[in-house]
Amino acid sequence: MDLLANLVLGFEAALTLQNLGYATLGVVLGTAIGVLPGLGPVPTIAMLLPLTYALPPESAVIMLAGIFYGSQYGGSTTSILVNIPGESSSVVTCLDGHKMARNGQAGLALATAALSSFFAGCVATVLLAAFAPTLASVAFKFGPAEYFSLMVLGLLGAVALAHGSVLHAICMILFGILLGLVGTDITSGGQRFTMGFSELFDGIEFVALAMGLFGLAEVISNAGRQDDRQLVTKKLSGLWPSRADLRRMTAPAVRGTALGSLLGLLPGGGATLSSFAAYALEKKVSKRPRDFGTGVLEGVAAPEAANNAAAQTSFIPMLTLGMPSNAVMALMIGALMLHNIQPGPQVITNNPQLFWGLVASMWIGNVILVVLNLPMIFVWVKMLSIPYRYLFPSIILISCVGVFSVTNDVFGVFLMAAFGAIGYILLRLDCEVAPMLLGFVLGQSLEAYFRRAMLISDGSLWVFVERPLSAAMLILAATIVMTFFIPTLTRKRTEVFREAE
Amino acid sequence: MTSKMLRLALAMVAAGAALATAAHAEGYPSRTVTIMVGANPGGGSDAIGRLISQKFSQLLGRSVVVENRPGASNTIGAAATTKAKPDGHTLFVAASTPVSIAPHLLKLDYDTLKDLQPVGLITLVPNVLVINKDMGVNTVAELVAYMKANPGKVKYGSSGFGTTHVILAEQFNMAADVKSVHVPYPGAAPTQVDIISGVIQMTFDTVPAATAQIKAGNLKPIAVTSPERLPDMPDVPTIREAGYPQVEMQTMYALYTTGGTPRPTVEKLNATLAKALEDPDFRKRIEAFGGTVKVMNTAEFERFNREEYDRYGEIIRKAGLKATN
Repeated sequence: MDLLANLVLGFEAALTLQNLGYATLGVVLGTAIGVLPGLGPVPTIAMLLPLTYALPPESAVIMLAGIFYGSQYGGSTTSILVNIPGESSSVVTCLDGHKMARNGQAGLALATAALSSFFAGCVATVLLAAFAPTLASVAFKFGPAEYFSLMVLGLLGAVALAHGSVLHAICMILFGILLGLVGTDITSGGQRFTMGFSELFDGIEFVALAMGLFGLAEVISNAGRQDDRQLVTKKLSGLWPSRADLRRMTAPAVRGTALGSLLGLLPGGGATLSSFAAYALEKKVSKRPRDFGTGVLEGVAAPEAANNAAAQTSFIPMLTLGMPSNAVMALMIGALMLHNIQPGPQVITNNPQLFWGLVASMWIGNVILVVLNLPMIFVWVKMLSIPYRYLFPSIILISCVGVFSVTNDVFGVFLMAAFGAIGYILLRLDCEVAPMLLGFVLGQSLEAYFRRAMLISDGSLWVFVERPLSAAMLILAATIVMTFFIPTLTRKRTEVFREAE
Repeated sequence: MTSKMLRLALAMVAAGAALATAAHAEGYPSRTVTIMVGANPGGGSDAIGRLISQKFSQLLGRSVVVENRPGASNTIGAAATTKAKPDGHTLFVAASTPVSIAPHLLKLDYDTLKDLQPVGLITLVPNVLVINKDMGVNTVAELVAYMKANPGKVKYGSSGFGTTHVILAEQFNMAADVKSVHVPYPGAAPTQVDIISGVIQMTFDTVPAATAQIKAGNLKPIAVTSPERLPDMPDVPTIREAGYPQVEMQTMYALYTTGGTPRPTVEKLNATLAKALEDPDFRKRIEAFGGTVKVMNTAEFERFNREEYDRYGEIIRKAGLKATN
């Protein structure tokens, strides 16, 4: 069988002592930078690029890939412990993960994140090996109209993220979209809401926004609480998942993996969108949707599985089409080009040991991550017993350094401070920031895809319903809207409304 | 470890390597040299900036670090360079955008011609006119005929307002007296997906970005914008051969420093760049980004820089490209 022969080739390449070493180095480094809020895989990989010249291309790519998925693991650790998402894809993990930590279940939350990520990683690796060439063509089925409809669907689904009022959630999504419009209009080159700051020409920096809204706002509100300055209660129960916990996380992890694998293929925010979507889906199918946001296991398992699966399947368009689906993939293409390998449809045939070696190293990397992270949970949880008065200045300091390192500019730090204040006000007003962040992330693409589709159709709105994929997604979106507004179909109005909330 | 510390560590490694070959530096450089890159890590200017920083730290015997100042069509990095002390310790790796194009389109707080001192050319990267392969069009002449027969039907993709893709397509429209509709994308990859699937029809892609899809037979190349045919695609005619010499144009990557830097320092930097580009291995790595390396002395490059600036300005005025606020 071809697949087996290919995998053997891959494992032969990945299991050499040298490559095993680089894979380990990559994931350890990735986990470390993932844990540090703000310092993401992009600057790290960029800084390490020159050091990879001397390596054979397989080793270079294996190490850089390790950094990438290692950071996906590490990012969830800060989300859970201190409510600071290091990456846009771990924003959702804050919702239930941090609540679990506050309830004294930090260990369980971390274990859930690690195990469901591991599961997703294994499945995605097999998918990558078996279907990479076929799956790559999915990207070509998506034109601007399809993407626009997908974004609409994603945004409406985001209402499910909120666990307070639907009205608040919708307002927050719209607020997020408006923030996403700040910057240069790519069609006309006009400046929107930049108020003369050239730092805003390319829009608001995501890291500054997310760390302000989540991290700083959290610090302010904790500092304002007189009695309980402890990040989490002293009582730590359930460090390890019980058999029942494992059963509970299985189905969400499977669903998250499926969703993540699919969305990871699409260029543009696959990992982020998939973690939001997986959370929304889990809440929809749950028997107790009201509990989401208070610290439920499912709310951690599903998005963590989804973002990890997406992180891995996003290699498919990069390796097979030479199309980066995010900034990290763009860097990987740069790394390959430095080694005179032109990423594109021919990589699999021309450099099979590189392609299959990378696939195999992903699985190996996932094993290393679990081995590395499960014992580390004790260390992380210990961190929570540090008195808050020492912890919060450190959080602020690390956040400032993190934001500064993204743009090398103090403007980002001021921006973060401003959003910290806004986040605190929103928190007091019971407005949840997660839907706002999704609005921000998707809003820019929403507009861009809409205008692109309209330019191509010469201004005809029919383009969105003429294309079957697009029409199907719009119908699904309309169905979601109907569940908000026509709730009398089967059950009593109040009950359904509660569920929609 | 923070990014600063990592960078410091890297700088120390680089400096260690540099000490071994320590060149005799008289006065310059007296401290760490910073190379500004106006884009995020991942693109051509970043990769070229990092290659140069490595080579320069060997040649100059001082650590040379890259600082990314992304944003606003690379003009934030350019502005930071203009505001640095004019002593040659701040360099800027620029593509055509911030130095030749953006000044005609955006209101900037620096004067490109005065506040940026040209140091030397690094590489010239040609663009290639690629089209959807199912249009029944095989040559530039057939494309022009197709556009004349179906007015308004052809859409061209770009990597955004004010990029070379737009300048070239608009220049082509004027030269061939045809019309095509601009559809902006956030980069080369999504543009290519839509051309391959036939949603849009054409773009003037940069050669490094287009090569893989051309080799795989997904995109059809019909002309290159360089003066000579490319060794990689010997069958693709130049745009001049196709009858539109006005569209002959290449994106440049070049090195600048702060305006007002003393002449001897500028000359030393130019000589260092020339020396770097003579190293066959370094040259090969730069050329992996799709261009041809061309060495110019400072005076030649100053002239070239001015010509490019004027030429883009004229196209932008004629095509009526202006940011609408």
